Amino acid sequence: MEEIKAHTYKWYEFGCKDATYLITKEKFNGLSISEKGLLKFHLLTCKYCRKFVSQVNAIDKLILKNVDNINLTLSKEKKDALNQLITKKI
Amino acid sequence: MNTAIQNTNTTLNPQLWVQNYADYLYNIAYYRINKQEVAEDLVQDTFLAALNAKETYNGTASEKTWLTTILKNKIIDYYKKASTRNESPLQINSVEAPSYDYFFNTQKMGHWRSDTVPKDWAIDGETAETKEFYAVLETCLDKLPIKWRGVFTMSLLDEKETKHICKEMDLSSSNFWVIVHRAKLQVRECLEKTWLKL
Repeated sequence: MEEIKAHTYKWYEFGCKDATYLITKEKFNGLSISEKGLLKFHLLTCKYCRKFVSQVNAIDKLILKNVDNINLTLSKEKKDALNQLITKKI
Repeated sequence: MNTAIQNTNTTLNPQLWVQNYADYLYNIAYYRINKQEVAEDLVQDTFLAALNAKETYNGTASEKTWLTTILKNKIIDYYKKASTRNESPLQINSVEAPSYDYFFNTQKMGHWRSDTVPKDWAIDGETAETKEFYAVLETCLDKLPIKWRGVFTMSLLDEKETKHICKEMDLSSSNFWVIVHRAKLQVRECLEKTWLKL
């Protein structure tokens, strides 16, 4: 398991790999105070990771929009079969 | 008007379920699992379970909400079963995907590798909403390990549900974020490479 453990972060070896992981984690779980500090400082100094943040945010939004745009429908056969099944069970 | 009637009505209308909710439920299931047959089966299972539990319906939630809750429990069950069969989408060891080493130079404090470092995108809001761009996005999502895609989309759709699944499966959430994170790295890179080449 390629897990990155929070307590192993040391400021002098905190790189883009760790920073991007924290960017993902922040969205769901929030970060500890020290993680927040490390990430904030890293983003101040690293334009690539700043780019990463804005790009993944854009991608997330687009994926959600895409889900909204596409409405899948079940085939008529499948629906008929479901209706039969339900009628039998009522 | 309609919802008001639904909310105060404590009786169910199973004859209308397929007509009213089948597609809605199918979409929910599909985007969380990303397998057509499984999604179809889950819709069917949901209706059957709902019929069996008819008596427990008391009208506090609308028919639609009630069926959705049943479906979401079915989705959790699906993930649980997959994990006992060792087919869990949430195990990354078995999955072929670029590792961190592909994106980061692990010798040098984990900086971006020169060929994967995020570049400037000439993508503004308008370009991004064109059909072509969505087609590229779709291709890139398809390149994810097949088991990851549903997990990834679900993480965007429904935070609460995602946490619930982690809890139900006794899964450390960090395991989950690693998958979501690696999916993000991969999709971002693929979009960049494919789109800039067009």
